[in-house]
Amino acid sequence: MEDFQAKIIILFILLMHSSQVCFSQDSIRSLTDSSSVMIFLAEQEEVPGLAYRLVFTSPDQIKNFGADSIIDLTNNEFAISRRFDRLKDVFAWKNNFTPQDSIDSEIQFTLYEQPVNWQKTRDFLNDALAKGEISISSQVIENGSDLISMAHHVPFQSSKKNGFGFFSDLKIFMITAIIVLFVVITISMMLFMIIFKSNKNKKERLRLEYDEKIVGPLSEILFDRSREEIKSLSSEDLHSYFPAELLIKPLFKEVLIERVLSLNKTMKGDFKQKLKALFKRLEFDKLSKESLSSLKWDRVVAGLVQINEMDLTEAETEVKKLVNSSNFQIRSQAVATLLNISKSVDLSFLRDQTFPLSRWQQMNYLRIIRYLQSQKDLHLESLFESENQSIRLFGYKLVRILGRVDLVQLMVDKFDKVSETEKIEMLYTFEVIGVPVDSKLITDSLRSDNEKLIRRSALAAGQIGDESTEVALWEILPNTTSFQLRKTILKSLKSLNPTKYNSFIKVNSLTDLQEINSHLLDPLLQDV
Amino acid sequence: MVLSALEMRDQRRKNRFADYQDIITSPIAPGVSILAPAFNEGATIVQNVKSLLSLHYGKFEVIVINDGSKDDTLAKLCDGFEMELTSYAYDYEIACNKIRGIYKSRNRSFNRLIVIDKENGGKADALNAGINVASMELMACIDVDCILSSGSITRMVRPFMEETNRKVIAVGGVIGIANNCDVQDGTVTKYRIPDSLLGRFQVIEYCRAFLMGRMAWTRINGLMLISGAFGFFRRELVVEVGGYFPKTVGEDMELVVRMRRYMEEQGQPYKVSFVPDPLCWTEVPEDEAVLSRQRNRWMRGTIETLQLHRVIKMNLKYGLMGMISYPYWSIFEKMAPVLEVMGLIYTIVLISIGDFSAFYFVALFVVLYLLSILVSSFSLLYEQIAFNNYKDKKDLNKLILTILIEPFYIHPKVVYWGLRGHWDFIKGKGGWGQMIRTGFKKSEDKKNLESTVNS
Amino acid sequence: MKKILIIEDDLLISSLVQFRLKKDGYETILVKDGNAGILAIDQEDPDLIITDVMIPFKNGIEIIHHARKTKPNVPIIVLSSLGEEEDIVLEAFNLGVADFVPKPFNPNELAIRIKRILK
Repeated sequence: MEDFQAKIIILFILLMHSSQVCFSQDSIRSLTDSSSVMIFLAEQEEVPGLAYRLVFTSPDQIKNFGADSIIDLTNNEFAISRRFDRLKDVFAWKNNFTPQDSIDSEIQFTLYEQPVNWQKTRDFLNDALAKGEISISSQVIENGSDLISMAHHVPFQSSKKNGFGFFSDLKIFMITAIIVLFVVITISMMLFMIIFKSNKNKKERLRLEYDEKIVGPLSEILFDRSREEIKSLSSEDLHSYFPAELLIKPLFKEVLIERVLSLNKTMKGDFKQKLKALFKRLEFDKLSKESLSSLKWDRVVAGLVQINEMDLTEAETEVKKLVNSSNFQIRSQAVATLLNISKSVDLSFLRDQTFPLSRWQQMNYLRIIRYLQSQKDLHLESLFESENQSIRLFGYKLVRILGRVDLVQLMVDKFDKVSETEKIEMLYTFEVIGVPVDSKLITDSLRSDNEKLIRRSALAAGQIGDESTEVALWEILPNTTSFQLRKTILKSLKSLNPTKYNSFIKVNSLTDLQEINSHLLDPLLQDV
Repeated sequence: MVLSALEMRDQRRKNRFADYQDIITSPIAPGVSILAPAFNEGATIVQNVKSLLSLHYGKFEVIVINDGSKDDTLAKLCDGFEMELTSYAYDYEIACNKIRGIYKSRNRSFNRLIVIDKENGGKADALNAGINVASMELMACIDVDCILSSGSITRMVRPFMEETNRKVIAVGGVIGIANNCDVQDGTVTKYRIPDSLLGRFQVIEYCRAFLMGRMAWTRINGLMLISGAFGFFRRELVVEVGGYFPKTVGEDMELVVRMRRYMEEQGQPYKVSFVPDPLCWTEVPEDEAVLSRQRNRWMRGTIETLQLHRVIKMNLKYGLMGMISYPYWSIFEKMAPVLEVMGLIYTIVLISIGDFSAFYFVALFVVLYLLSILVSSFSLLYEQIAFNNYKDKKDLNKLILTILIEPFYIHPKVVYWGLRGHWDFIKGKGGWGQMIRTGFKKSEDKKNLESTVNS
Repeated sequence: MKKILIIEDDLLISSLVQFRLKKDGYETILVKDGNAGILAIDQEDPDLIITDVMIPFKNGIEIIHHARKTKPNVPIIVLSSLGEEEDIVLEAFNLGVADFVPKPFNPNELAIRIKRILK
């Protein structure tokens, strides 16, 4: 669908147009202005009926030349030369006669012996050209001096005729250059592609091969050796598992590190400790720390991930420096790592972040927090005090996911003061945790005019509601127009007070009520 | 090229550190409703739905919409998955054709599956019917015969999860060509390029479109089209803008444009994202007649969408979309075939009046040819670096050959089909071109279309 | 000698489990995907099946279904990274699996559970 050829075509048209301007120089001209008439005539031989003579406006100047035979000095006002049939001759003569430019003269046309102005001449010429009465001679004036003398009579105009040759050469040169460039790029790209491909295939094969070489020894080490033994493994022993010549290969190291990290994620208990001991014994921890100072962000993050997974607590100071990195990836990984390896850190640093917290980050933090919460007090409740709404919301979410019943009361206390978005999140948490809260919270929310909030509180009412919330639900039901919301309300009512719900359904024959009722009763639709 | 290269590099690096396993289980991850409209798919429906159900993700549901199939699609589904008619209380929140029934399985292991049986109304209408039932935060609109890789949901969900201050409204994905590949239980196990030239040409074309075009647009956040075969949307927002517009043949593009327009008008910062990983494969038509109808339809869809949202054109209020994306689409996508033909006629006229230098003609032609090869091979290079799906050297050589002959042999046809699309649009032909692959047919709203487009 | 079928797409994990079970004197069959899993259930006649719920080609639930149907007496252990509260895991319990081991896990612990089940 996205058709890039179009772009090329447009480029094409543009190029065509610009070259067109140049081509038009060759086309048949129709004479329009005095200079074009002059240029045209200068190239011609005789034109039947047309003749030329020179008119000297100050006759005194030429008296000295004594060329009376040619110049008619009868008039005192101006002198007129004899007639010439070819314009070239006029120039030649004049050049010969008056080599200096100091003499004022101009060319006069005569048509059938009558003097005429240039417009008349032009019309005559155009007419003759159109009828084909004169043949065009396009010989190039080679005599430079002729041109110069002509220029004296013609208003200045840049000579395109000569320039064209130069420009066209340059164009040909440029186009050839572009073509060559393209050919070179294309060929080199294809070559690169083929080489790259074979390299990549080779790398993939090697990875698989290394993978197989790692599995066996790794299992042996993990099951047959204790943690202490791994720590003090001699180089000889180590190399009997992983040959020394493989261990120096960067790709092998990469695969091995990847494998150790992924196993660390799926294993539990002493296996984790053993993997960490092995990681250090292989001296991969040094590599991790080195990569922290790399300029490429992906290497830095890789190092951080390793430090995080392998609990390399000694790198704490280096990691701390990266917490305020300008790179999003580095920043969030550094925070996650620090949270894990530092003994003193709690969640208060998260509270002070100003940027909205993405779910991606939430997911990563959740994993770490879940793991850490049994070991140290993270002060989860500090998140509630954040200036940043996304962080507060994350706090409520954490209470729900981690099941922190102890923090519910704190949330209840804040409930009245928070925004509706936060109320929704809080209500959801109350509902999931299932601790009955002050029913006023729910009834107030039910009576708000935010539909999302009403819906959430109606759901919560079904789980943790009491008589007063039931009353509120009955109250809002008749005024509710949204079908989905009616469904939610009825569902909650059904679970709160089945008897009253049933009698209500019996006396109401509204079709949508009946539809919803049968929906709610359908065993296949329990969770829809 | 530079833009797409940058975006691609970032994406590749990000992938290295993403723990996609984590998304599957994390309670923070959003739920996904997969909407798959089906029309006369009886032969393959059970297999296709099975592979959808075995996607690796924690919170998702699969909604199959039987769009009034004339074959045994529904019966096959009921048999295959022990489906039973329920008394689901259907809410026509977004208008769509009449729902005949909603089915669920007695068997708890197919708990994720919901089947909607409705009267035929075309793809957009079927999707609208599905949106009304979808209960998750996100929805994925796919063609039911697409092959999705098992990790595709996690990958596609990621941009939504990375959202910070700009709302991510939709995410598009790359579509690969599955012709001639080995497929086993809904996973491509061996990649091979298609046998026919037309098929191979489409491989190149898809690489170009997805890897170059859309990557570059994503970089500047100007993406206007998410393929109807594989796209993720925020359900809430789709409902707010009123769902799919059933009267256009380009409903996929139209929806994205409308969502963008809505966000611009609301003044909310937003983003349309794109995931360049190979996650979805589909069979493309290798038959010329079918392909020509498909192209014809795409062209009409583009014209219709652009016409419908004319307000956006060069309108500063719509920011980048109005100033760059829209004009780009009008000139390079919509008008491309017209301009190309005009350029050709222009050239022929110049030659015939003899006012043309042969040298320039040849030179320009060679430049254009090389440029097209350059772009094509660049996108193929991308494919090789990024995915490396076509591992066989012979395949690669064939693709290179295709690149070389494409401008002479296939491109003129594509231009011709595009022109036919223009012509059909002018004639006011609406609805889906009858496409054998999906079989969606619809031509009765000719009049409706005309009235909406011309109003 | 008891035969144990392991259906798991991560080679490293399955090899590790295999290594551990060999020490206890079990015969093990490693399978990487759902199709091969179903095939192995039919042909190899295992005494116990260890499976993930998310594996290539097939839904883990389908495998459990298949095993229940064809070999109702063979105990099944689900090894999964999904939490116990996930639908799909509850589903597995409904189908009557013998045990559920969430990842991360300890292979030694898994071996003990297997021993207990096979007694």
